Amino acid sequence: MKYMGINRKNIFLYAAIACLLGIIAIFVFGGYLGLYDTVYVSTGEYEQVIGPDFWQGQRPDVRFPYNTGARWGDTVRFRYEINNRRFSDYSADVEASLWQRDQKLNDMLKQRISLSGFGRTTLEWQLTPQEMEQANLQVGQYTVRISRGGVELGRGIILGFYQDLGPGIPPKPPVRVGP
Amino acid sequence: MRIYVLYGFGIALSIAGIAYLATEYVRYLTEPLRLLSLLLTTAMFAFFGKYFQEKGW
Repeated sequence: MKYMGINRKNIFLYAAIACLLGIIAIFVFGGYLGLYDTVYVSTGEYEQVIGPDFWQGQRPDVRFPYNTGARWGDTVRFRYEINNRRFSDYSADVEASLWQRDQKLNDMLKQRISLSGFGRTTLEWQLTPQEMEQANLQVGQYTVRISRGGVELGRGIILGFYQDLGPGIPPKPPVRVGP
Repeated sequence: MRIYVLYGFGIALSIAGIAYLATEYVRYLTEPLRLLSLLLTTAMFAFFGKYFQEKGW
């Protein structure tokens, strides 16, 4: 029996294939939808990108930080990009602060953002040597905690400062003159 | 006969792989899309069943 020139049994096969393609399309589209956080940390000559995969790949019960380093005395610049890949609007408070051993040392950013559907925004802030001096910071490890809408990104970014010890080449010995 | 055992292994591993990928992808879906995926999966199996029934399997 034929229906519009197609065998009846083949219609079921095509319908099943259409359902399979629909499921794949939902997986691709559903995977694309969501709120995506990307943090860029720039210091010295390097820029590190901490992408959405890092933040979203964490389980709620086991969260881990991102580790990065900076030379003591260099300015550390942060860029935080929030991408609202959803149909609905999104607004939230974004906060970034500097911590050491569960003590807050410095508020670096406090801002309210409002994003339309499929909109994005980028927030920027920096940690300058002057700010570090004013906060009586010393060479060591600090945690930069970033939260969006009261939810922290992973366990933050561990920022390890190191002192530049130079190239490590010993000075030339004095030239001996005479016997 | 032994070739069918290999076919069995292949089919089982394929189903396990697809099931694993599906669980990974479903984690990122919203509730309405999960429901839609479930409905499409049910419909897909129903249509496949009907197709094989029509073929006389």
